[in-house]
Amino acid sequence: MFAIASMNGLVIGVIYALTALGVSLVVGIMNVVNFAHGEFYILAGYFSFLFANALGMPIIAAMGLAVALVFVFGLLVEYTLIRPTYGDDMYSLILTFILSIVLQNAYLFIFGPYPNKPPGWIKGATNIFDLFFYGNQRMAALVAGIAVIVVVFAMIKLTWFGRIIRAASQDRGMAELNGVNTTRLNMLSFGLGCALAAAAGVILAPVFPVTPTAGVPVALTAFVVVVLGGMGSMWGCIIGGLILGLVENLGAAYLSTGYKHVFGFVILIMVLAIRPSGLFGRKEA
Amino acid sequence: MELIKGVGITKHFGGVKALSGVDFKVEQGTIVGLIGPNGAGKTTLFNIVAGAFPPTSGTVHFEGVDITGLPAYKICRRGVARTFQVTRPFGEMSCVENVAVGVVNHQPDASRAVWTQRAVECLRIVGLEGFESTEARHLNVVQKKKLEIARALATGPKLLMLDEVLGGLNSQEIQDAITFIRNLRDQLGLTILWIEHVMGAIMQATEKVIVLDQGRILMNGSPEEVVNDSRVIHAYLGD
Repeated sequence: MFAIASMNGLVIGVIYALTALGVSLVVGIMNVVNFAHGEFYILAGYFSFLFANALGMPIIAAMGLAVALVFVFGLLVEYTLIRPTYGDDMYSLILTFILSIVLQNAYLFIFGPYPNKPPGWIKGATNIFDLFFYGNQRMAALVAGIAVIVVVFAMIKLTWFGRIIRAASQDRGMAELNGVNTTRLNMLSFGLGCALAAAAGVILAPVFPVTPTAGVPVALTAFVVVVLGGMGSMWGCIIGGLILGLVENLGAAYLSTGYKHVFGFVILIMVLAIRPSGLFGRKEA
Repeated sequence: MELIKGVGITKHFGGVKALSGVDFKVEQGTIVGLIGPNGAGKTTLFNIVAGAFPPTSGTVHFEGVDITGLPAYKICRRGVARTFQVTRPFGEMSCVENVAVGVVNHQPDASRAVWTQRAVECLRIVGLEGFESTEARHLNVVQKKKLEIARALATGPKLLMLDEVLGGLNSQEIQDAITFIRNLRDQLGLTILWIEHVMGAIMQATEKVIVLDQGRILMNGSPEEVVNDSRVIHAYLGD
């Protein structure tokens, strides 16, 4: 039971990390807390379901298209809703909160309350070290999640676009005085944050079907991970996501499934009591 | 020819009049000192020229083009760079990455090799060779000031605005810095607008001095005229 709970924790932990990276990127650069993050995640799940099931596209193409569309939708949301609010963080907070409610109800209206599930990528299960059988689909999700995280890390750490992102998240005003077009950077990073939510959505949708409100716990967990790992730290997102995934699943296996989400918050409170800036957070000067 | 010209620049913060009707100009290729008591509005004037915020009224012309109220990055790309009194490096990036941010935005179409090469060259100009891969937060105060100037140079400025670069330096370091700043003008052909409280440096390095007091131009003239003017002495020392 320990092995299978850990494996589940690992899979879900990687997805948490992926969603949290999106939140962290947007908070770090724009200082905007996107309460609709979970709804972007669900939107990608619905898109991939729609393209694969209704239009009969190959699942990989459906996933790629879903992420691309959510990216564009993210750009659009930034342009129309977020951009006019710069200078007052409270407005964007309220706006994204409203957006999340609007989207949830739109999903309910269009897709109904039923769980929808895009087709899996592969069938069957593999015997892991003679310990347990594990679904191939979940393992594929784990690999895909890790792959996306590696790509994001490489982009932020190694490319020049990534260096500009890091510069802007450390000191926005100074970056602008060095010629960085922060308006365009905001738009791109908001789109990218949404695309990361979308990537998590399409990866996990074949395992956990999408419903109109399934994004709420995902977004909440992503916020917990960002605070747990430390604001602005990419490694914090990864470690925080894994810790949360493992603790939730082991807690559910050994203590009680009913309290699954409580374990995460207990860990959060414990970490914040000892390190208020999170595991990898920069200390405020 | 005047590189930058401000006409009637006024800035109110709520009820506080930081600047009222300031006219100034800086000739191409000169080093101009901007002095005045604390709270005179020197840094506010810098912020308006660099585009941190627009003036309440008045205009700023750079190379004859109206740049009033343009976003900071556009003004930067036209050739205005500034440093800050309290340095603001991107602490968790290496020195070369810090400087390269400016290069990338100044020459977006150049190759990666050119970006790195230009960034390394800017570090060399300010005397930070050997620190290319050091994270900026590990530098000492003097080195951070040098990095700040290197980063400003990387944006390819025509006008360099220095905000109290000499604060916290000892007398030998001040001498070196004066020579360095004069070289920037003589060798790189920059025009320099320089806020400074170290009067000795202003006397040695500048051709012209603008004196601000309580948001107005008190006077401008050669350094000698300024230090001997009774109004200036009065503004600094009171009755």
